Amino acid sequence: MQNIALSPSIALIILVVFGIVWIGFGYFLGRNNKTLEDYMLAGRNVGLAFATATAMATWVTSNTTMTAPQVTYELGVWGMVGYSLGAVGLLLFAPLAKRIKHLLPHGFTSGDFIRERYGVMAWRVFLTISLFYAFGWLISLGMAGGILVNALSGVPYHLGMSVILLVCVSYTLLGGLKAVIATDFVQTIIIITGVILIALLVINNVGFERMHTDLQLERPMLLNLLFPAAIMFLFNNLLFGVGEIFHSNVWWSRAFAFRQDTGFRAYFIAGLFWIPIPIVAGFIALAAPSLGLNVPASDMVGPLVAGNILGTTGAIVVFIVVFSALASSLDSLLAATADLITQDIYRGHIRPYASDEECFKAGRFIILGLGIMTWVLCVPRLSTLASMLYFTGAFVASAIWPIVFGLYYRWATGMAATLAMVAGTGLGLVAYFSIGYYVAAVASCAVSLVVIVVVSKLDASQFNFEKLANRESNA
Amino acid sequence: MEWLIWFVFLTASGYAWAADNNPLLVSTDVSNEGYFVLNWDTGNEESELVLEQADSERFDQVISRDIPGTGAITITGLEDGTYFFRLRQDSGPIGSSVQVTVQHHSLARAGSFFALGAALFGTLVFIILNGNRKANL
Repeated sequence: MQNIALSPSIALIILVVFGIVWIGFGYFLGRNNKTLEDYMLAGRNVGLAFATATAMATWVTSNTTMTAPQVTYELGVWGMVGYSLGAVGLLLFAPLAKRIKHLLPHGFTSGDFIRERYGVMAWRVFLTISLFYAFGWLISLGMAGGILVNALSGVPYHLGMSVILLVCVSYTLLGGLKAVIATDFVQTIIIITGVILIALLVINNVGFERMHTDLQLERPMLLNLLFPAAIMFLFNNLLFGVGEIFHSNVWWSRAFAFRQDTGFRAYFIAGLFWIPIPIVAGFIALAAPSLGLNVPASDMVGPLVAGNILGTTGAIVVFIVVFSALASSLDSLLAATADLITQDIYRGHIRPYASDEECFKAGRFIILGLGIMTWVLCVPRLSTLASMLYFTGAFVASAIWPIVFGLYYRWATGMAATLAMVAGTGLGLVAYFSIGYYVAAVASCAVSLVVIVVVSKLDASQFNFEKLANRESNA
Repeated sequence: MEWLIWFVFLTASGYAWAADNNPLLVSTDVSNEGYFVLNWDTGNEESELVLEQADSERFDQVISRDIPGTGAITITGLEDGTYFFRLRQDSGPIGSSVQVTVQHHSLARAGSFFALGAALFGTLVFIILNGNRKANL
């Protein structure tokens, strides 16, 4: 086996101790959840500090702490820089969050908006995309947990993945969005401190000059600024991140949960703080050649490098940081996806007259069901994290324009939005398979733009935004 | 339904290892990104294996990597060219060599996607700023 930085017993002790702390925290915070709004939206009363922390912590995920090193290992310097462009999604969502709160003061989910703005057909297409993405992200997070534990400690993939899922499902189930946001706050502090510490230790142990020399000799393309696939990756990652954030209920539910006038500042500050995180996380992958490391799968490179050069103490820090990052995203995604299923599938399609109390109960069962389904889909480790994640890029980037035009412009129609999402996803997938994962989002976004503009202009109808502002949520 | 399509595509694209008796297998014959995965199963995990890389089938100039018991290695960052790999033990090479051709996408194609992405980003920023201005936010 490859070098193991932690003994399996230490890894399991960390998992159990942090697991107990998070679950206890969830139970404590969940005691006062009395209504559906308390559980799903933390009473719509989240202030700036918690709002900023939850936005940032949720966006620092396995994507950042494990996939950023992977794309750096595969695509070099541009991979690292391109990954940090994911911050643009948060920055651009800042004005959207303000608009969302203004238009839908009583909204619960992103699906609410699409249904009211574009009608049932667009709503169903959007739900398909959104749920597909949510499952893709959930699986990538579950897989990342298993890979992390295995790479650092040798604990079997399935055991690590199962324990991490169990912990996150438990505290989300007990505490709802309040627990998610409160744990995110603590996890943000751990992540920032840990990432800075790791970067300083890597620079101190290996050094820039040695890394540069070895890369130039063994992996020259990683330093080449004219690396074609990496050049294509830059804006693809930016648009993928924008698509992820703009459409996903993870971010909409926070926009609804934040206090009035908090959303813009929270998302903007979180975006600025997020920019350096993937640079630092990705940078450590460039030390792999200098260390003579054999990397079996490129999504293991981050933990392997950290464990190799930082020793047991460093490995413990890495373990805690990545575990925190995973947990902060997994809980958010579980909660937001459960909200979407409760509100848009259960209440929207199955039981239209379900009371709040009934939805409150259903939401808990749905979180549990999501956890079990994620576990089942994580068991066969089908792909690497990046190819798994970027596969969803074709889907989410197709929703960017329907969301943006839908929020600001009257002329965008339901038919145009539906066709834009379908055509964008289709062409994005063609690009994914015919060229590579690093172009799927760009292709999808471009096609979606053309379709929504052209088809909308064929129809003279104008949407009345008063309809949204005056509506009461059916929840 | 989407999951079925996703499963079939990923299974077909990511795990299509060559099917012959050589213990060393490669994930792709042609790489457009300079990275690929080499996978092996010698049936003897205890043996000290070395992976040799060369730019000719004769293995005149060799880059060697010790690969104790890992079973796979991801090679990245290679420039255009044809690369040969084989496994070796103290007693000599194991099986035959495998060949991978690295042929990066053209810069014209890369530049086109870059420009398209930049244009979409610029449009998006303009649309949002203009929308905010009109909405008086």
